[in-house]
Amino acid sequence: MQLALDGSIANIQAAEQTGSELDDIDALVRTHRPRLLRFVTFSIGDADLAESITQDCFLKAYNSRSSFRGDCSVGTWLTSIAVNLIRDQQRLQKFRFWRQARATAIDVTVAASFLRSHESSPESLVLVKEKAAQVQAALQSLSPHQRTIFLLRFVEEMDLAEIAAITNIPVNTVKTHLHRGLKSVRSQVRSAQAASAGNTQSTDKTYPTGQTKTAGGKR
Amino acid sequence: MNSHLDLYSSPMPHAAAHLAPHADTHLSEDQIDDQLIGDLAAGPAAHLAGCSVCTDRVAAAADPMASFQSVTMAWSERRSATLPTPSLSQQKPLWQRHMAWATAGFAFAIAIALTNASHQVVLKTAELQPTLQQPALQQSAQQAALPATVLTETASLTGAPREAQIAADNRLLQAIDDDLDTSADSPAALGIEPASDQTTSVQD
Repeated sequence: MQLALDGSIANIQAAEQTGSELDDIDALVRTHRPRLLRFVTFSIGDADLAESITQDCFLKAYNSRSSFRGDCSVGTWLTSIAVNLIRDQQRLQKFRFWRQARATAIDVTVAASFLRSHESSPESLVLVKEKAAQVQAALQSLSPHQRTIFLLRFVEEMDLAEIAAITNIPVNTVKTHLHRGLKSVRSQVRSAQAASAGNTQSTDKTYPTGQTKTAGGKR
Repeated sequence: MNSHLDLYSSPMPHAAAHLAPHADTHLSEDQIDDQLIGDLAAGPAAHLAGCSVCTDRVAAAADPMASFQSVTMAWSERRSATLPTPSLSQQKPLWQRHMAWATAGFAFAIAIALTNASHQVVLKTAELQPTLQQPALQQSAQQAALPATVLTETASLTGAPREAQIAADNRLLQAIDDDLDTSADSPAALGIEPASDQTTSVQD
């Protein structure tokens, strides 16, 4: 009896906390915008459009905050709104051929320079930069659906059930999309690594050791 | 930041390395994909838990995604910092937006109606004007109804002033031609010798 009471009190407190989190749009934006912006940007591949969609996402979330039931975290709820906005955008995109040419490209190699260098050695930063660029290039070959699901899993770190709930797709279909997407990305990354001169063998053999060194070096 | 990098690549505890099974039971590429996706069956998962080789392979497979994750997060944090907070004041409630559209539509409809009405008034005025200017316009209307012979006569009558005008114009043009006639202004008429004749006279 006491346990049930404690549980309901905890639920009420959690709901109140979520409510207050949604009421304060400044805090909401501060906490969730970087993650959401990243997801939207790499889903649609246009930085400027992604900014606009992300802002729209926060406005939608704020305006419909009363409909948030607290079934999931605020971050997941925001992501589901973003997924719907991206879907709408992709539907529109089919009729806007000029948009493709105007899309603001995202230079992930520039993004790598934002990584804090004191946390990693210059060598590992170069490796990280290379791998990130390879994944970004591989992502462009995926279908919009596969890309969104891939990002939800490998960037947003959601599990299969969460992805299925957010995208309104059965779990098995999510698995199929993920398998195809992952296979494609891995094979493209492998061939990119093979193409970079003399890197194939050294990457395969020395990388785990290098990573251990990096991990040891930073602490 | 590096927590992202280490997400999929946490090394196996080396204490479990002695449990490494035979090479033929190592994970296949599909099973590595399953592990990355989060859908590895219990059997291979148990193997993975005790096999450092497979753990390293899984870590190597996951590493590009982890790199992408950390780089893009750094990029996004930087980019997000430059964006303004979404302005709530600009966003009006739905009913207000609908109201604005309805008002705009209503104003447009009224503008169209007014334009149409003023056009109709102009047309009606034009129709009424002949009845007001009875004598002159009725005459022309009657003229339109006259037979062809009468019309020819009318044309010959009205043609007279035109012919007089043409004759006057012709006279004027003739006068201009006369004024411009160069025969009267030739050097011989003015008593001036041509230049070549003057040269010969000087030589003489």
